[in-house]
Amino acid sequence: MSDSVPSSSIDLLQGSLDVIVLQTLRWQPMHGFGIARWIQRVTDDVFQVEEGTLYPALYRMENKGWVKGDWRITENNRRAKYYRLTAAGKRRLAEEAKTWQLFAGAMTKIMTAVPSPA
Amino acid sequence: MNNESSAGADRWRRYLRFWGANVLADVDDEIRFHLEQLVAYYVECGMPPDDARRLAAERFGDRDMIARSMRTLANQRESAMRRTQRFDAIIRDIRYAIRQLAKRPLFTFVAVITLALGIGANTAIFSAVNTVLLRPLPVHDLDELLFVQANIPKLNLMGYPVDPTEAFELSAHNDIFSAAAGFHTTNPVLTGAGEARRLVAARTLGKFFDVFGAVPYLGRFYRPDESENDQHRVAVLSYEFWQELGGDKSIVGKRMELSGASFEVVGVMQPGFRYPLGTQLWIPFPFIGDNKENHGRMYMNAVARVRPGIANAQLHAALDAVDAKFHTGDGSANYYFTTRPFVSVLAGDLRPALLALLGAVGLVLLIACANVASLQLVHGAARTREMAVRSALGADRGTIIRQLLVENFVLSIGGGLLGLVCGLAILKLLALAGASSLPALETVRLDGRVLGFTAIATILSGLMFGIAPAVRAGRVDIQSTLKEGTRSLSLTAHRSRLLQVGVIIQVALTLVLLLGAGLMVRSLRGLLTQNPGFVAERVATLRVTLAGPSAQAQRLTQFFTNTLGRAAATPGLDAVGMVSELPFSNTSNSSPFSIRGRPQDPNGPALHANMHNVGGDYFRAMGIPLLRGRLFDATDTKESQPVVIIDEQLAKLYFPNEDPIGKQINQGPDATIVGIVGTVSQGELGEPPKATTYYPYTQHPWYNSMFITARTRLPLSSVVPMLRNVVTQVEPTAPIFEPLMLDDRINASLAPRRLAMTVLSGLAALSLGLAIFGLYGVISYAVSQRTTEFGIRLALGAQSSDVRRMVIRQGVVLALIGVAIGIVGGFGATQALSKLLFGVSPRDPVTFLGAPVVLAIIAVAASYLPARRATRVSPLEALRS
Repeated sequence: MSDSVPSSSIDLLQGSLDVIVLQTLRWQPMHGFGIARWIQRVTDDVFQVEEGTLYPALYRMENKGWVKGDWRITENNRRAKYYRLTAAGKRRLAEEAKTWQLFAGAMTKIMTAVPSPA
Repeated sequence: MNNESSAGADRWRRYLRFWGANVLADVDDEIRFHLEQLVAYYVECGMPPDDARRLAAERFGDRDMIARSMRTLANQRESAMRRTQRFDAIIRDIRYAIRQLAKRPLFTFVAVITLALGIGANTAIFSAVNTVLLRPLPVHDLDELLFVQANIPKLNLMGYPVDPTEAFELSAHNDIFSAAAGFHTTNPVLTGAGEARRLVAARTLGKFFDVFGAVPYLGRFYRPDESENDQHRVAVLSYEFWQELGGDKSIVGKRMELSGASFEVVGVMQPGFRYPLGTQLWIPFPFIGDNKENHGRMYMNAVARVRPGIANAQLHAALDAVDAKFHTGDGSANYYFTTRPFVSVLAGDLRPALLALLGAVGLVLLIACANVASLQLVHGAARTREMAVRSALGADRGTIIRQLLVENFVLSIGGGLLGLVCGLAILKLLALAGASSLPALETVRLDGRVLGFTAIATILSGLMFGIAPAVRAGRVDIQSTLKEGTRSLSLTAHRSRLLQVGVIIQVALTLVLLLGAGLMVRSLRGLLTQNPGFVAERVATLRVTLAGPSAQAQRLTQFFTNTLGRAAATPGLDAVGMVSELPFSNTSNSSPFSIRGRPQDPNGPALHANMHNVGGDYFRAMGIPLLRGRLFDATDTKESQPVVIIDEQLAKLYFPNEDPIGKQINQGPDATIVGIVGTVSQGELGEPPKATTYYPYTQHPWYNSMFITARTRLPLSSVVPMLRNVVTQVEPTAPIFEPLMLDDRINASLAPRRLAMTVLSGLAALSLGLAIFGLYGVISYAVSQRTTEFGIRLALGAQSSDVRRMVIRQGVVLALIGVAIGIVGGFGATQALSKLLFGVSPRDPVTFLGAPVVLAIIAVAASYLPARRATRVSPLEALRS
């Protein structure tokens, strides 16, 4: 089934995982699997989140107080750990989002630039 | 995903949780859930379950490694959380304690003040002990330093300095001493740099700097061989003196003019090293000529650093060898060396005084703690209900005890902080009271060690006054307390016993302090009524010096004679004289002598006497009586027959059965005895008298510096300008120093005792206050507990005087038990004062009768007020309540 992974998928840039996860939790609490699926779906399978980095990242952010994990019952009546954004996490996300928009905008300009007449 | 395995996992999870391993379980659960979801997702996409499981595991990666890093992170969070919780719990306890204390402001105020006084007194005295006894000098291994002292028991010369050759000889025993040195203090006059100044200098012989392990801050120290000839005129400045001169590093190599001779500055001493006290510079002692040849002049302080591991026997064998080298004839019964630890000599009389005070403040702290503990027990009774309610609501005994201990520590920390302030204030007071007379106390200040001591005293006091009431309060019987209701809180037998023990302790300790203070007061009064042999009142004294190369014998005699002549003619000065050393100036210059026509008796007392140079109307100015013969007069000149006046002590010792007038003695110069004067206390009041000889300066101008003594009715402030005027007229450049009334000098010699007396009296008064307060509180409390009983008694016809007597008896019994214990304790404790006492025994019956009686009377008074309240109980009210 390895061929089902799109060849255009890219590894997440170091450091960008945090902001993606925070953004994921922006509207509602989610468990780890949900976060991974959501990212995959939103980016049309471009971003593949690795469990080996996702969970330690979640735990690290929990230690920093950006997210908070609680055990809840899922719709299928299973216990799962749901993460939600804390106030500190929201502030952090706002800062990161600003940086990313600047970066993405600049990047787009560079990539779409046409040679200016001499 | 089958339900069975998931249910099994849940069960397993519960076991993990049961053992508290929730981090392990959570991580495990989270990974398992993820994998299950992933498998389910693949299956949904149409994959067969087995393949889905395989792929999910593959996709997930190294499960153990991921789990491990998650666990590490989770554990970090857990421990951080636990720390916060513990911290929060302490903060909560402290907040609660402060709220509880704020509800009882009077109790809190009294307890904190009581503790602050106790801790403050300890802080102040410990800082003095720390500065004076523990770190008096920046010197390593102070305990290896010894003073070597000479003793001539038959002459009452005990613990005297040695002569220079003896001090020098100690260095030869380098198997015993790693370094040895001699030193004495002189006062050279600094000239050639503005106004002439009189300096404090130490002249040293031998390895003075090695003995102390001192390090030069700048330049170098001079070598021992530079101190053994007069070739090297070199000086080492104290750091403080160098700073005073401007602190210029280029001073090394410069020259300075000291009493007319030019000295090269070779170095600056390390900061903080000022030994002997107040020394501004160190210069070599010229070990040549008379200084080397003339034996028996005892003015050199000998100090040595003994090698580690040297037995006492070896040490004394070496000292005996030095003795034998110089004293063959007169045997060890007449002359021998002893050693004293350097530290104890350094502190002198302050040592026993400070140690006694340290003991006393310890007692004060105990009293303060007992007092606060009693207060708490009384209040603990009022809080029994609060405790019962709290334990009924589920607080266990440990929680309640912890809460009370926190409350106590909050109290004691409050007391400690305020105590630090108190301590500083007491130090200020001590410095104000004793600064001029006790220079060693000037440098007392708080340092890390003192702060540590205060912290320990604070914690210890928190434990001392806190444990008993806290444990007691933890032992609440919920049921009976709640049933009893709010009002009749019974004084349980246990609590009342604790309270009584507290009062007894306070009374006993207070009595010990009262006894100490009483003994000191009686000693000081005894000393002040001692006859010093002269009339100290209304004698102005100051030092005049003729410095520089002009100070030759001829000029000196002229200078002193002219000064005396002009001073005597000044109106307001009734009698004016001069003397080389005043009584109570703590200098001694004892020299051997021989009596013409009488061979030295090897078994008789060695012939030794304090030498004085006098002039003018010295004896009349001082009020020293002439007993026989004549005083010096104008006929005693360089050309006439050399004469000497001896004191009564010398006459008694050496001429018991004959008339000394007309006899000749030789103490350096030959001289004929022309008069006998009264004996004068030289060092300290109450000291055994020493034989003394007086020589006229007109025949022997030994000193370029003398004290003027002027009997006058004028205050010192008007005498000083008059004398300055006189001296300037005779010699414009001659400086005058140290103006002081003679009785102030005597007071200064009593300063350590006065300090001990003042502080002990203050502490005794403080303790007395606390003890009265404690007794009053306990009796009042007992009365309040027995209101009903008194009401019944009065209703049944008891007289109010009966009730009153009953209450007072209770107080008096407690006080008497305390007094009895205090007397026994006092017998032991006052021994520690024996060195400070004069004319009273440590078991002085007057003090041991007086203090207990005073205390007992005060105890009756303290019990009387509550007793009166007991009789005012209205029987009706008492019975109804």
